[in-house]
Amino acid sequence: MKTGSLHLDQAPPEDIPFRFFLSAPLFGIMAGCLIAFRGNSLFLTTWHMETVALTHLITLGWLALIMMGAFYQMVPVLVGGHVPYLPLARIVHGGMISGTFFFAGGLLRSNEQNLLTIGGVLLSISILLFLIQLTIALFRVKPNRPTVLAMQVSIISLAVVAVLGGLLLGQLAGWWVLPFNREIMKGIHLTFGLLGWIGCLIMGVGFHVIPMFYLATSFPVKQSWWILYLLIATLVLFPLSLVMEWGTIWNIIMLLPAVAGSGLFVLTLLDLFRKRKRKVVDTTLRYWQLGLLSLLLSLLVCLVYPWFPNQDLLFFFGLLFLMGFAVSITNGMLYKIVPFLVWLHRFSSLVGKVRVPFMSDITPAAKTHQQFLLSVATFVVLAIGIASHQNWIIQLGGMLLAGSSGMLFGILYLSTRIKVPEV
Amino acid sequence: MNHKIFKERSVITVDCREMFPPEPMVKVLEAVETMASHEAVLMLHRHNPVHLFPKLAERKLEFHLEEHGDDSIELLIWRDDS
Repeated sequence: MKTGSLHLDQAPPEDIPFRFFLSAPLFGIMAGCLIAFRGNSLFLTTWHMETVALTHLITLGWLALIMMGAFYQMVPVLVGGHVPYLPLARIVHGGMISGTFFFAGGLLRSNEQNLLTIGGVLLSISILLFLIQLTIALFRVKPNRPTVLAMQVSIISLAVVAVLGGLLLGQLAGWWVLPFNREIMKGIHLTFGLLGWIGCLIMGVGFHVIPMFYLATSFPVKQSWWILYLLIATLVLFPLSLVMEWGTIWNIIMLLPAVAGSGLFVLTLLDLFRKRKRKVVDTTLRYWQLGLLSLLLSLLVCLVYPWFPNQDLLFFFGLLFLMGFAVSITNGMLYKIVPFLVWLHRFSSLVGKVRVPFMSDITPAAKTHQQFLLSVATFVVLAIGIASHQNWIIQLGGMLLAGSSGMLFGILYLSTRIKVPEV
Repeated sequence: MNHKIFKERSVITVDCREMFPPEPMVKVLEAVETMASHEAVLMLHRHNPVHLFPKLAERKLEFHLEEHGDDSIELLIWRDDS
C-alpha cells in the first residue's frame, strides 16, 4: 500500500464542517435585515459603528465561519495535517456565532460596553482555540506546496487581525486607551484581514480545487508561488509604509505587488476555465466568474482611491471585495462541498450495493441557479444604492441579501437532511 | 506503472480523467465490487483520490499509487486472497 504523503481517513465527522457552513447564511440574513432597516445611514462613513457592525456580520459571521469550517475539512484531506483536539471545533463554532452576535449587538446599541465585552471575550477564546489547533496542524507540514504556504499565511494573518481587532475593540469597550494611531491600526487590520486571511485562503484553495472541480489543467506551480510571494510582499511592506507614514505614493507602491499577484491569479484562472476539458457550466462556475470579475474591479478601485479619496469609493471597494469576491466564491464553493460531503459520508459506502444519488439529486441545480440570480440582483441593487444614496434602493438591496442568504440556508439545510437508504 | 500484479492478473482500466467528482469514486468502487479474484482494477485520474483510500481500506483491498507530475496518477487495486 502506498499513498504518498496522504493520511488516510482523517477527514472530520460531517457535523463539524456542516455546523460552520450552515450558520454562515444566517449572518447573511442578519446583515440583509440590518441594511433593510437602516438603509442609507449605513453607507455614509466607514467609521459609523452600525457600518462596522454590518462589516463584521459579513467578515466574522459569514466569511470566518465558512473559512474555519473549510480549514477543519481541508487541512487533513488536502495537505495531510492532523488537526488536534478536533471536538474543540464545536466550541469554536459556538463561541464564534455567539461572540459575533454580541459584538455586532454592542456596536448597534451605541457601543454598549457589556455586550462588547461578552462578544470580545467569546471571539477571543474561539479564535485563540482555532489558531492553536490550526497552527499545530499546519506548521508541522512542510510548506513545499503553494496551497500549504497559502494556508499558513492565512492563519498567521488571522492572528494579526485578531490581535489588532482585539485592541480596537478594547478601546471601544473602554478597557484601555490606545497609544497608536487608530487609522493606521485599522489599515493594518484590514490589510491582513482582506489580503492575508481571506485572499490567501481563497487563492491557495483555488490552486488546488479548480483543476479538480472543473476538469481544468493544474494551476501552474511557478505562477502560484509568484502570486503568494507578491501577496506576502504587500502584507509586509504596506503596513510598514503605514506605520512609518511614508505617504500616499509609497502606500500605492507597496500595494502594487498584491494588485499584480491578484491580477495574475484572476487571469490565470480565467484562462484555465477557458481551456477546461469538459465545458460544463454550473452555478459554482458562475460564482467563480462573478468573484474573479469583482476582485479585478476591487483592485482598480484600490488604485484609484488614493487619487480621489471619498467614502463612496471605500464602500464600492467593500462591496466588490467582500460581497462580489469573497462572499460569492464561498457561496459557490458551498454548493460543491456540502453535497459532496453528504454523498461521501452517507452514500459512498453503499456504492455497488444500492443505487446512490448523484450530487444533483442532493443539491438541485435549478435551485442553486435561482439563488445565484438573487445574489447577482443583490449585488447590482446595492451598487446602485451606494452610488445614488437612495434609501429605498439600499433597503431593497438589504431585503434581497436576506432573501438570497435565506434561500442558500434552505438549499444547504435540505441537502443535509437527505437520509441514507436501508440496505 | 510497472507492478507484479500486471503479470499475475488481468487488469480492468477505469479512466476517470474526464469525470467530475464523485463519479471517479463511484466507477472505481463499482468496478472493485464486481472484480473477480484473478482481476485487478487500474484507476487513471488527474489527482490523488484522497477520499477513495479509506473506502478501499474498509473493503480490505490492496492498492498501489503512482504519481506522474501534477496532472496524472495511476492507482492499482486488487484483493489479496492469500
